[in-house]
Amino acid sequence: MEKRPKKSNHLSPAVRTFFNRGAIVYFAVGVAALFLLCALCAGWLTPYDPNKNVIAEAVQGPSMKHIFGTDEFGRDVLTRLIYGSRISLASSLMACGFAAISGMLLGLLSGYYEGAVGRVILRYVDLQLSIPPLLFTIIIGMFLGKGLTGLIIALGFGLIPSFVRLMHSQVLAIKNSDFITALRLGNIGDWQIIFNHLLPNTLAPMITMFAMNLGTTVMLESTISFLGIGIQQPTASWGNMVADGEKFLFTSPLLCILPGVCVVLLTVAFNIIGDSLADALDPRLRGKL
Amino acid sequence: MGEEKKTLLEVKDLRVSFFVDGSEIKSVGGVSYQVREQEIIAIVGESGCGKSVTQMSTLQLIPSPPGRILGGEILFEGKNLLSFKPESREMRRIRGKKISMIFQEPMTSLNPVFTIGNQISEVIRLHKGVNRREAWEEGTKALEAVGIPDPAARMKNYPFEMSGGMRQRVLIAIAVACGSRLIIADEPTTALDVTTQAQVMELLVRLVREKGTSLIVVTHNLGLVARYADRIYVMYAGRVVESGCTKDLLKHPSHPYTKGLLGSVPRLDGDRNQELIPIRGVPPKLDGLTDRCAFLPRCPYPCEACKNRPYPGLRPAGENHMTACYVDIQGGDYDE
Amino acid sequence: MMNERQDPLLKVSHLRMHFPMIKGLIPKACAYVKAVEDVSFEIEKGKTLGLVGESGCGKTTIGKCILRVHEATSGTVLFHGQNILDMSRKEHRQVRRKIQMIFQDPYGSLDPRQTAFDIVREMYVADGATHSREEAAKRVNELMTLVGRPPELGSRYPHEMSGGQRQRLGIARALACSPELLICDEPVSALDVSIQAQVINLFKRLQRELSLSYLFIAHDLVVVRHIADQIIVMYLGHIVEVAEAEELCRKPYHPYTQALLSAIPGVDYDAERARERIVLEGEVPSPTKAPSGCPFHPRCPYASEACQRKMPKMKQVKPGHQVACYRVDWERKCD
Repeated sequence: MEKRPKKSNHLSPAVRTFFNRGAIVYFAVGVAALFLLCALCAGWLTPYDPNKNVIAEAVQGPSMKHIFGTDEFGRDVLTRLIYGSRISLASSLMACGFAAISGMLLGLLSGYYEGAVGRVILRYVDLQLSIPPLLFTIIIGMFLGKGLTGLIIALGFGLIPSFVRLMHSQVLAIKNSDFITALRLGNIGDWQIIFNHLLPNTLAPMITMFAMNLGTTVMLESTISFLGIGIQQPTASWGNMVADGEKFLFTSPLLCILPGVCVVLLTVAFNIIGDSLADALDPRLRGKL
Repeated sequence: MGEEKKTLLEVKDLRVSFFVDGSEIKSVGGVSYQVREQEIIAIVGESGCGKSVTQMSTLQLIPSPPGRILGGEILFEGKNLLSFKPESREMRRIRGKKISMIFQEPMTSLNPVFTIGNQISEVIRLHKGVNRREAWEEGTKALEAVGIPDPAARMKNYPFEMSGGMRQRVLIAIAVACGSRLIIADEPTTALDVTTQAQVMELLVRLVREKGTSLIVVTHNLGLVARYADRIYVMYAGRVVESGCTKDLLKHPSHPYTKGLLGSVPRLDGDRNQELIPIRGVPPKLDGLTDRCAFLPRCPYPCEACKNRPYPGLRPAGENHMTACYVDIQGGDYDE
Repeated sequence: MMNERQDPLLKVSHLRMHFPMIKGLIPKACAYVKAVEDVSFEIEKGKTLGLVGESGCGKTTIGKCILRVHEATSGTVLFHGQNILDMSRKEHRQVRRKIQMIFQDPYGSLDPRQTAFDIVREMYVADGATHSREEAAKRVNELMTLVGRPPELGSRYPHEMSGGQRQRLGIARALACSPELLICDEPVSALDVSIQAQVINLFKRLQRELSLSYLFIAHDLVVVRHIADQIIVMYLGHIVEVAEAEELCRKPYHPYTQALLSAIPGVDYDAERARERIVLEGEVPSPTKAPSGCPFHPRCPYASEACQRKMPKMKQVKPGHQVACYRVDWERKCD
C-alpha cells in the first residue's frame, strides 16, 4: 500500500524543462563543469607551480611549452588561470552559501514571526540595499582585512539582503496558505511546520536565486581583486591577473584578455543555469503548457 | 422557433488539439453547431470539456504552439474563418467588429493603464469612424445603457477602480457599442456574486434582444441558461453529446450525461432527505481518448453497442433534438 | 428558542471581528474593517448550520474566529460550554483538534510536496499518542476508504489528483483528528457540477455515520438548503435572517434573502421561464465602506429613512425564524 513515490515521475519533467532552452544550457553546464574540474584537479592538470617566479621566462608569447605564454614573473598563464578558478569558485560558492544560509534564517524569522523582530530585520535590509553592493563589499572587506576568508565574508554579506527579501516573501505567502492553517488546526508544532512544510516549499526559488547569485559573485570577486583589495599576489585570482596584465595591454594583450574571458564565461554560465533552474523548479511551467 | 432564421455562424466538425510533451490532448474532437440570427444559444459542459477552446478557435485565439486547429470549418456570414491567418486583417476586423467576446475575468480583458472612457471611445472610433468627441459621447451613452450610474464620471475611471460586476458591464457596453453581430460570453458571471450574476445576465440578454444580436453563452451551469437560451449544446470530453431546444432538452434529456447533470444539482423544491444522484467517477483525461463513447466509464446505462462500437455521433432524438447515445434512455433500449 | 434538552455543541454569542487597517512607519491602526458585527448562533450535536452570504459578508471570518485563526475582537465561543476565545494556548491545544476545517480550494489546502498518505498520517499521529507505524497506516487507510478514496492511491501527490479527489483527501485529513465539528468553507464551489453532488452526499453520509456537526459556509442557497438544518443569511457582517432551512427558502422575510433566492438559477424549464426575478440595484459594497444603519439599505427596494439611521433588531416572526428588518411587522400583516 505504502508505495514509495516514483521519483522519476516527479523529476523527469523538471529535468526536461531545465534543458528546454536547448544548446545554450548544455554549453552553460559544460562551462561550469569544466571550471569545476579545473578547480578540483588543478594540481594534476599542469606541471608548473603557479606562484614560482622564473624571471628568465618573463612575458613570453604562446609557445609549445607555455600554451598561453607567461606573465611578468615568468609564471605559466594557463596554470595561473586554472588555479585562479579555484579562488573564483571557492569564493563564490562559499560566499553564496554563507549568504543563502543567513538570508534564509533571517527571512524565516522576519516572515514567520512578524512584529518587532521582523520589522528590524527588514529595515536593516532596506538600509543595506541603499548602499551600492560593490561599495558595501569593499568597505566590509577593508574591515576584515585582506585574504580569502575576509573576501568570502565580505562578498557574502553583500548578498544577504536579496536572500532575505526573497525568503521573507516566500514565507509570508506559504505561512498564510490553507495547508499551513490545516496543520495548525491539527496541533502540529511550529518546528515541524517550519522544517517539514515551510522550508521545503521555499527551496525551489532559493536554489534558483543561489545559482543566479553565483554569477554575480564571480564578477564581484574579480572586481575586488582587480582593485587590489581581495586576493593578494602571489596567489592567482582572475581579478588580480587582469590587474597585473594591464601594464602589458598593448604588448601582450593575452595576459589581460584571458582571465577576463574566464570571468565572463563563468558568470554567463551561472546565469543561464540559474534561469533554466527557475523554469524547471516552477511547477506551473514544468510539464504544462 | 416558428420561422427559420438565417444561419449566422456554422461550425462544422471542428477539431483542435494541444501537443504537450509528446502527447496529443484532443481538446475539441469534431464539434458542429450553428447560431442563427438573433438567437441565444448555450454551450454547457464541465471544466476541460473543450467548450472554451471551441470558442477561442472561432476567433483564432488559440495559443499556437501548443494548440493547433486540425480540421473543420467555421462559417461566419458565409466565409470560412479558418481560411484566414490568425493575424490577418480580415481576422482582426472580425474580432471586435463582427464578433465580440466577453470573458470570465473582466480585469484581464481591459487594459489597466487606460481609463474606461479611453477604451470604449477607441473601439467606437475604430468601428464607426467618428471623431474623438463624438466617440466619447457615444461611449458615455453606452455606459448608461448598461446601467452604470453616473456614466460621465465613470468614463474617467480606471478598471481597477471598478468592481467585478461594473467591469463586466463595461465589457458588455463595448461589445454592444461596436455593433457586433455575435457576442460570445465565456462564463460571463462565474466570477461574480450571486445577486450581481442575475443583474449581469438580465442586462446582457436584454441588450442582445434589443439589438438583434446573436449570443453564445458558454457556461458550466445549466441553470444559468435555462431562463434565456433558445437552444443548448451539451459538451463532454471534446464532443457535443446532446443538442436541442432548451425546453426539450431540460424536460426530456436524452443523453445519460445531461440527465446526470440535471439529477446531480440540488433543487429548491427537492426533498432534503433524499440523496443527490451524482454522476459516478471523474471526467476522462483528454490525452487518452479512444474512439468509444467517452462517457461510457461513468454511464449508468451501458449497453453492448457502446462497448463494441465507436462513438455513435449525433442522431435524432426528437424534433430539433439530437443525442450521441446508442441507448434510448427515455424509452427502452436502443436496438439496431 | 432551541430545545433546552441539552447544551448545544457550539454556542457563539455577540461575536465581533474588527480588522485594524494598519498604516505608517510605526504601525498604528487608523481605521477598522467591521467584518463581523454582533453575531450569535448555536450548533447542536449532529446538526448542520448553514451560513449563507455573498463576498465580504464575513462568513469565512466567523469560521476562522471560531478556530482562532483570527483572534476575535469580542464575544464568546462556547464549545461544550467552555469559552474557546478565553483559553490559554495550552488549554486551546486540548480542544483544537475537535474542530476542523474544510477549505474552498482543495489544492491550496494540501502541501504540494506530500503524498496523500503522508498528509493524512501526519495529522493522525500529530497528537502525540504515538501509534505504531502499522496502526497509523491502518487508520489512514480506514479514513481513505471512509471518504471514498481508494487507499491504493496513497502515493499520489496533490497535483496528480482531480478536484474531487483532493477535496476527499482534505476531508480525510480533517477526520484524522476525530473532530466533532467541521467548519466547511465553500467546500464544493470549486468543484465541477457532476462532482459536487458526490461530495455533498459524502458530507451527509459522514454526518450520519460519525454524528458530526457542520458549520456549512457557502454562497449557494440551494446547496446549503440541501445539507443544512438551519440557515443564517448574512450581509456585510450582520445576520439578517435565521430560520429552519426549508422554512427560509419557502417564506423568506428579509428583502435580501428574497433577492438571493430569486437570483438563483434553476434547471426547471417552466419555473424558470415563468417566475419574476427580483434584480437588486448595485453591488455589495466593500466592508471598508459599509453604509450606516442597515447595511442593505442602499440596495433595498423598500428602504426607508429609519433604515439609514439604525440597524434593526432581530425579531421573531415564527418560532425559530428571526429577521432583522423594519418591514417585518408589515409583511406579517399581509400574510
